Amino acid sequence: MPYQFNSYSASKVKSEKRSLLNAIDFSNNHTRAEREKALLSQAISFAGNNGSKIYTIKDTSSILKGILGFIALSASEVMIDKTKKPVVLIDLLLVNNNYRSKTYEHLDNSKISQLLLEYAAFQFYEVREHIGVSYLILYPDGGKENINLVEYYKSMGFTYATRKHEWMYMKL
Amino acid sequence: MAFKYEDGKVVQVSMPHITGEDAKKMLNAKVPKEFVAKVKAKKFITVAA
Repeated sequence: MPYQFNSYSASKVKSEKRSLLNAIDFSNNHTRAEREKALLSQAISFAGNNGSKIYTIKDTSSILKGILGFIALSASEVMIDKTKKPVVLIDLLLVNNNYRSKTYEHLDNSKISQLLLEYAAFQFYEVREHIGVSYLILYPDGGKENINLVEYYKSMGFTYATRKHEWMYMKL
Repeated sequence: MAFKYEDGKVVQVSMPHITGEDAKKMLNAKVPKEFVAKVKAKKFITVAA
């Protein structure tokens, strides 16, 4: 496989906080870059306290340099009517600005975000080997106004949980 | 995301409570079989950073 994921322990996240924050290029749009940096910083803080688990993806063939993207996962639960359902929550999905929206033939003919989502599903099934979980869920950055992102998640199999159009889920 | 960026700062988002028709839809949702088959066929490599 021409790519691999690095998992960060809480102590590793704490010791490498600064380098992780500077590991990728953010959006060229200043406002958006500030937003992305703030969200990554929050995910790193969570991960440093075991509130989330951070993974990065790298191209092992070195065609693409450095960290290609981040994904942060945690365990949570949603209420469906009166029943609590355990879920795996995608706290953050962030792709290096240099590699966004592009499909890479040498990386399974995939976009980086696609590989990160597949990895989230893979980790979901790893978790399910040990404890019960029902759904993979996420809150799209920018909410329903971020139409392109929402459409992308829909194309990957996510559905809005409510008519408020906030949370999205994938039953696995 | 479990948190969102609003008015220049990151705020945590409450987990959803799904009721009524939405709940019924979610409980009866179908597993995206093609996607799952693709994921299960891959051998993801994870190493400690």
